Amino acid sequence: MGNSEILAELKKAIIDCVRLDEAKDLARKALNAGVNPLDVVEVVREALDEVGDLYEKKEYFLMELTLAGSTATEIMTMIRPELKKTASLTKGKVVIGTVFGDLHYIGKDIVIAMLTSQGLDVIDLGVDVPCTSFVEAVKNEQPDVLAMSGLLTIVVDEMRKVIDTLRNEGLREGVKIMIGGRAVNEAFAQEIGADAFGANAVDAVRLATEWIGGRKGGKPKK
Amino acid sequence: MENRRNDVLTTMSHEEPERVPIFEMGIDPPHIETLMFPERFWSPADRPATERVELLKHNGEVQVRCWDRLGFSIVRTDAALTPPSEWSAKVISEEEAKNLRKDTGLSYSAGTFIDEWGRGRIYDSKCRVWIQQYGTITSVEEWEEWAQSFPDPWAEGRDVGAKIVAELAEERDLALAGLLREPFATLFEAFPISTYYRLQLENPDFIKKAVKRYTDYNCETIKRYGELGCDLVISSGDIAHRDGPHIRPALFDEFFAKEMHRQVEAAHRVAIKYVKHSDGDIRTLIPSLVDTAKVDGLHSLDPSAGVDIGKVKEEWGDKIFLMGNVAVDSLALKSEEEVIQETKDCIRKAAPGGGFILCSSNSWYTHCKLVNCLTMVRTGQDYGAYPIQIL
Repeated sequence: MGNSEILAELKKAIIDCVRLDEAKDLARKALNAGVNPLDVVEVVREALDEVGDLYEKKEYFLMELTLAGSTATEIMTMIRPELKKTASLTKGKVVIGTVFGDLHYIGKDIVIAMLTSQGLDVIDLGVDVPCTSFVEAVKNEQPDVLAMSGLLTIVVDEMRKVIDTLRNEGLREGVKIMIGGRAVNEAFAQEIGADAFGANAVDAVRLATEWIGGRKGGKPKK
Repeated sequence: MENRRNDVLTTMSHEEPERVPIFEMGIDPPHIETLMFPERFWSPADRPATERVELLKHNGEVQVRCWDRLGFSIVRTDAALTPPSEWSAKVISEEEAKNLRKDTGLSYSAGTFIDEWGRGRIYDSKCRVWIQQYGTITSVEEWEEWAQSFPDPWAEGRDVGAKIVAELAEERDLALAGLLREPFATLFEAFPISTYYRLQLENPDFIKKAVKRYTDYNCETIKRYGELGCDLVISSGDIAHRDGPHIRPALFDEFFAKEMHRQVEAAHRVAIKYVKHSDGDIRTLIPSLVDTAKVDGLHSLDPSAGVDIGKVKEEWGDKIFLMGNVAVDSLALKSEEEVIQETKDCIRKAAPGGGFILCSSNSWYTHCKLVNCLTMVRTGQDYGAYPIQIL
């Protein structure tokens, strides 16, 4: 089997959500055959794009989206040592958390799995995160993107507070901000001065990669 | 306010009652205390574990009087997830949280309480309710070990609170709803999310075996609800989210709907109606719920996820009764006028012909405006007399 066939099989394996060990075997096979690790990363990214498209068309469900993200994360972890020899893996940094007053985590964690699988450095602040923690994280970590999540309607005031505080402390311009979760929408994102609303995990990844790609000269997704 | 239980039984039989019954599956303690001032709704932290029976008794009484005062037709009770007398909670220490974070990559925090089902729960001090956190079972082997002492549905003390609520409901002629937890949700919540999905894909035999155990538990609990005089059971636990089902509808049908049908049969053997609750967009799961599981009713038909109660009524209203669907988001964010209109729309679309119980799309959680909640009830009372006359 040639290298391009191995990569095609790997891509198909991620999209079809095969067993994790099968997908990892294919990635290992590619590396053993001398495939450039960056080509493996690209195939993983393409596969995730396709899974995202299928999810948005409602042909795939949360299960497939999560599994593809976790398979991609496992493959990225596996090839990270190889990548360090050839190039920098990390494309950018995202700080994420569920805002104060809300303890829900499922949506946030799926976004984290998808972002991590894209090679982004994700700092998870957890749930019920107070405004000060978001602000400190932006100050100390200097992320490219700040993502705030929330299911309960109470979060709207907290999200506004975080953005206002960042603005008052002169930190707003240095970071792109997205908000997501059941309680918020595009209009609210605009109202509070966020850069965008991520309707779901696929949308969140698209936004983050576009922003980071645009800023660092990388390749934005279609 | 007369004949409230009878109205529920009539509407569940797809006939028009005197009035549209009104119900809420849950009201957060801060709202209960406002409604029942100066009475308190006790938190577990208020009473030592040795006074658990007193706590259940007190809270059961406050709850029934509160639901009664609001004019609701149904009260709910729980003998499914209430732990037995002998059980004591385990709380994750800082060291254990650190190890779990390392093993799973998830942000477990110290203080997370592990319930009888292996689910992590964390106390929301503002809403004063326990919220699901990460599952703490990370492999089939761990599940097998946990299942060696699988919860006993007949364990002593599990029905202490339920008995109290049942007696009070009977005194007030209110219908009684027993709560269950859907096996999908119980299993899904016991594991970290991606671990559960991985098992669903790679170890379907395990999932089938586990679902059967949880279903057996629920069937026994339903028998107990029969003894307590319940009129309906409501199976909580979401099977969908805002974008759609968690898993492919065909998988849901194969793994869960068939087992749900066993629960429905158990309910019918003791003359109880079976209702499935779920938030989210369940539209693609309704065929499975109706035709395979053969549920009697659906709660809560989440309008924020795009579920239109009128369309569900039109397509499925001859087979199932509907409970819903004033959006919780509306109760939290909208004006009284908007809530009145939304409530009237629900009644207009779903009440004619019977088969409808008015409630919110989830519960009255702390951040809902209480004035909006009461507006929903008042509108239900103003416009809920049959024949329905809302144009």
